[in-house]
Amino acid sequence: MDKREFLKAISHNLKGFDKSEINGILAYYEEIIADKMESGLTEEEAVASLGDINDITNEIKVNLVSKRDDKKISNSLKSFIIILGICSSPILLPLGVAFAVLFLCLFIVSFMIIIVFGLTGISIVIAVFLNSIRTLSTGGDIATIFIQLGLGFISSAFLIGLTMELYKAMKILLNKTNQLFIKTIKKKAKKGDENRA
Amino acid sequence: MKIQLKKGLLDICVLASLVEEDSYGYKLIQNTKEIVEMSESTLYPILRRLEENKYLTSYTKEHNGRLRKYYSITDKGREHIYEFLDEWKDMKRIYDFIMERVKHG
Repeated sequence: MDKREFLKAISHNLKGFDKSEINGILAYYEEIIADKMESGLTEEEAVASLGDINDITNEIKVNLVSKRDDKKISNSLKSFIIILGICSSPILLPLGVAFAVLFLCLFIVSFMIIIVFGLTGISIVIAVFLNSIRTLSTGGDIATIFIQLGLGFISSAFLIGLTMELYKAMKILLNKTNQLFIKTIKKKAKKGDENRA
Repeated sequence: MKIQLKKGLLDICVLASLVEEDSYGYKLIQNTKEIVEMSESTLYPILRRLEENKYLTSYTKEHNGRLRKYYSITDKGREHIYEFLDEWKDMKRIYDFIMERVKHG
């Protein structure tokens, strides 16, 4: 493999990451290859001495993902997919499966909880309105209606507030799960290096 | 060297290699070779981290018709090395203590 192919493969593997980050990495490897060639290696030898491209880009991905601090659920999902990609190598596969199961379970369960609380909050508002219309039409007094409305709004405000807090908690939880797995992968990778040494 | 270097130790080794003079990627790997085998892909994140923490700065200079990135240690970087040395003084004392017992035991 020559230098051009090597650099192309790296940028292909890192597609989706920050452009300036990728450019820095490409410039770094380009310089290293040139310096190795100056020290007497051929272009092919210089490229080969860098090791396996997937190992290189996986190491980069682990570093980039561990630096991410996802504030949005969509970003956590992106990180999740990147981590799964890293875990597709044979040694990390069991870890990847465990991670996928845990992440998806957390995602689905917290999603469900949020939906249930949110829907309850909204339906209380609707129920209170319908109930006050019914009370009015059957000739109930205004005071009762106000008390009903008040209680209804307080409880739905509470539920909707709770839902928003739960949503925030879910964002943090998913982010933490990603970071936990990245840490585990880093540890595993270090052990692998030791065994090779 | 087979010992897993304590996290951050490699960072200090790289910084220390810059104290005497500015250096570049390939040369840094060659310089630290005698104490630790460091691959190119290990060095890159270390350099990035050190630069982000302002322990070093970088500049490009022409070399043989191409650009080479040189790294230069900052005052903050030097300070970081001294902090490390201070911390490890205690480690050295513990090491000597253990060594002493083992030798006479």
